[in-house]
Amino acid sequence: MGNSSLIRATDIRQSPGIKTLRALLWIFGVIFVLVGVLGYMMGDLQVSGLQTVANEIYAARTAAQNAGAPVSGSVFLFGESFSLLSWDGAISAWLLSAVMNSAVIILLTGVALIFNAVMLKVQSWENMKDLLCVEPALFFFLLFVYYPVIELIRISFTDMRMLSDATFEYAGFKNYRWLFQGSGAKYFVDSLRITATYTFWELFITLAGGMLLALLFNRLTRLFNAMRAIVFMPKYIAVSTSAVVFIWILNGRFGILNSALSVFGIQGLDWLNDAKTALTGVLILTAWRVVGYAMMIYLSAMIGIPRDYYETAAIDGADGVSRFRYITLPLLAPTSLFLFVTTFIASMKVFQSVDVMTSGGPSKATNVLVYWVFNLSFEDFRVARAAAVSVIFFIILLICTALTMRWSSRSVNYDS
Amino acid sequence: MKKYLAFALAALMMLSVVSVSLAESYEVTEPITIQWWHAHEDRFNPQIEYMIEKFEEENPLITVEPIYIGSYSEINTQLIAAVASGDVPALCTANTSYPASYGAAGICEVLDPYIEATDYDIADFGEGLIASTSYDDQQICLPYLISTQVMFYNQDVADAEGIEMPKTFDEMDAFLEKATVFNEDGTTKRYGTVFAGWDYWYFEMLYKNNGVSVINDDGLTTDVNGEAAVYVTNKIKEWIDKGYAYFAYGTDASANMRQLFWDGGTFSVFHTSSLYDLYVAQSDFTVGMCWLPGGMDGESFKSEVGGSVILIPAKASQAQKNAAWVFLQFMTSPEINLYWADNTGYFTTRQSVLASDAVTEYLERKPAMKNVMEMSSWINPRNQHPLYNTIANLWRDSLAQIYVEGAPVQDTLDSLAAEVTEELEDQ
Repeated sequence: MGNSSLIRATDIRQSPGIKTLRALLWIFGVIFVLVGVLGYMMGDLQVSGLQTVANEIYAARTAAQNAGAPVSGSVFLFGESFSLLSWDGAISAWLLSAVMNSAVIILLTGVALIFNAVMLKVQSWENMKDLLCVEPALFFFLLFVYYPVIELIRISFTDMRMLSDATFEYAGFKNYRWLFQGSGAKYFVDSLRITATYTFWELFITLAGGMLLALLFNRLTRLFNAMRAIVFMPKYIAVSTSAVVFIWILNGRFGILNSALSVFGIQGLDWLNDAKTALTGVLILTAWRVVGYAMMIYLSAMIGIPRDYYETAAIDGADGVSRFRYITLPLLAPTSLFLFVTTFIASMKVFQSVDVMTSGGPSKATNVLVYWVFNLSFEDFRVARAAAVSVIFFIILLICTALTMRWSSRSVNYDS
Repeated sequence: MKKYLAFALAALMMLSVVSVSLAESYEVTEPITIQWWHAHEDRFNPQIEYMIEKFEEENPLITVEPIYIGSYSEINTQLIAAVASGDVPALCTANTSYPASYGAAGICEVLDPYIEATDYDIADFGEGLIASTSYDDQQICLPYLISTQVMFYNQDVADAEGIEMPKTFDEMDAFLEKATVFNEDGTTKRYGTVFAGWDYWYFEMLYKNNGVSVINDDGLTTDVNGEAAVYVTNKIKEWIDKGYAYFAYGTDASANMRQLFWDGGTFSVFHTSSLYDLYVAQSDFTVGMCWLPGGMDGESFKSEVGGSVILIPAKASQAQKNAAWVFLQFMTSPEINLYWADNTGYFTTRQSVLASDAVTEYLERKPAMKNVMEMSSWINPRNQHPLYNTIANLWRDSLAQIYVEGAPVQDTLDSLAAEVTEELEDQ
């Protein structure tokens, strides 16, 4: 059976139709790649040799914009003195403008065509059908995930400013020198420390608080259902909305938290305006939002633990603490790992609550990495510096996640 | 004689033909809808609706779609994103701290040809405001809602206790001593003043009037750790340490400061003249408003322009720009200028308005405005260096470390100066 299907597949691959298709894929693929590379070099890379043409396209675009009409006219691609078989090298400005705008899409399409041409030769027809189903998703993944990362790395080696992104020069490692040796170093270290502190506490709150609440609410009665819903509810509320409410709850002079503390004779703090307590203020909001979600995840995992384990342990004389220590905790390890990784990545990228509640202050006490990147781009307009910070941040996240996964594969028990 | 007359006539006709054709190139000839991005909160909706209705009655071809974007900072973010994508509004308001950066990047349409073609009376704004809205000798936006730094104070308390507002920096000591009230345990019961510290703009004139430049004229050096800067910083720190004043810093610092003023927890505050109406509306006492104290030399009383400008993004289509220019002329016309000023607390920016009967009536209703408007010729453009905002924010944060966290003055300012110099060298 296996042999006959292989022969059939081989036959199909050798058929004249497939051979023609492969040849066409190669031809169009190469054309698309060449055109895409040309557009990418003119637009994103701003290669100096092509800048005359690119500038003409920019001028045509501006004129079209002013006139409220499509780009028109033509551009001499190889200079006005060029001539080949009565063709003077003139190309529609509209076409070149479109190529510059869509260079990456054209390039990726070309790569996809060539890839399929190769695969048609080496893969069976059955495998090709599977591959074709996956390719659209892969295409979008490359375009919207990997291309931005590549662009980010490229921009980090330029002197690009947010307000003048049309013109830039390659600056080598200048932005990285600023980040590690210049005035950026102290902000980077501070930001990393603040982000790490925030992440540590969010992880602690999520894992410990979530598990504690899950143990507390692990009763399948209506009353407990209602209470669970109340604890989970903050997750539904937008961060920005709850952050505005928490600004007032935590207000040093008029906030209800300080009023409540004063009832017990405790001196209130200026939570968000004091550099020593501002991050704690942000973490109070975080705790309020995340703990219910973690509780629900833990609860669903707890329900999945067979009751037999507990009953057997009870017969053997194990008390509640022992049952938790030796049954619940190990069997919740995969859930803890899931929460750890997702919370770790999310908390390292915290932005909204900081933006609304403290704007990175006071005295940069809550200047987490993503907020710093945002400020570098939109307040200082130093987009190249922001890109350099983002690249390093990306690497840090990648390493941390890889180490976690590596550790988990050895230590986490997936048996149930 | 006849020959000269004929020549003059021909020249005149030629000139008028050129002017007519120039004006025609900016005319709106077809129905068009334009977007206007602004930062006016909901409470200003009735005024916006009134103005747009009036405008659309006068200009039936143009429909204006006002869009509230958020704070000036949010407008900045959105505008930059819009410019990058090429999908820009026809008209946009922006904080007065941004025109220099926008001008350097070519974000704004240069308005000089429009002004020339339509005989727009730009001179009516006065030199200071024209300079505030220009970059590289080109008019890139127009003054819209203009304010300046002021001190609000409790007029009733001032009258009852004989407190005189300080005219110069040297008079601050005596003023604060008199205006501050302490509890029996030595804590402050009523501050003499509060320095608004969440934005450098509110307090920077205390430094500038004493000769301190955050960025010197050469654009490459700074004076933030110079002798005068250290003196002013030490003085303010001394007042804070004595309990005469505090440095309002942080997200809700503005709201806290205002509430403190209304509750009688401070005699005065440093803030912006644009909030005059709000201060008056929330106070159960008479609110006074005065110019910030001048320099130690007794002669420097400069202040800086605040509020917002209005601009046309260069990436808009010409038809959008033409319609935007018509709306822009309307929004900055003397009549609307006074209407806005009256309804918002901002200044009247048109000099021709100042002599009108309407302003006399307006000042009768808002007498405290008179103190400030009389000195309006002292309003100066903000620093036009493209990095000024970035560097002044670093300066603000360093001062906050000194005033709020007790960081050492000289070391902190020296470290700041080194960082500022590095930033300026890497432009």
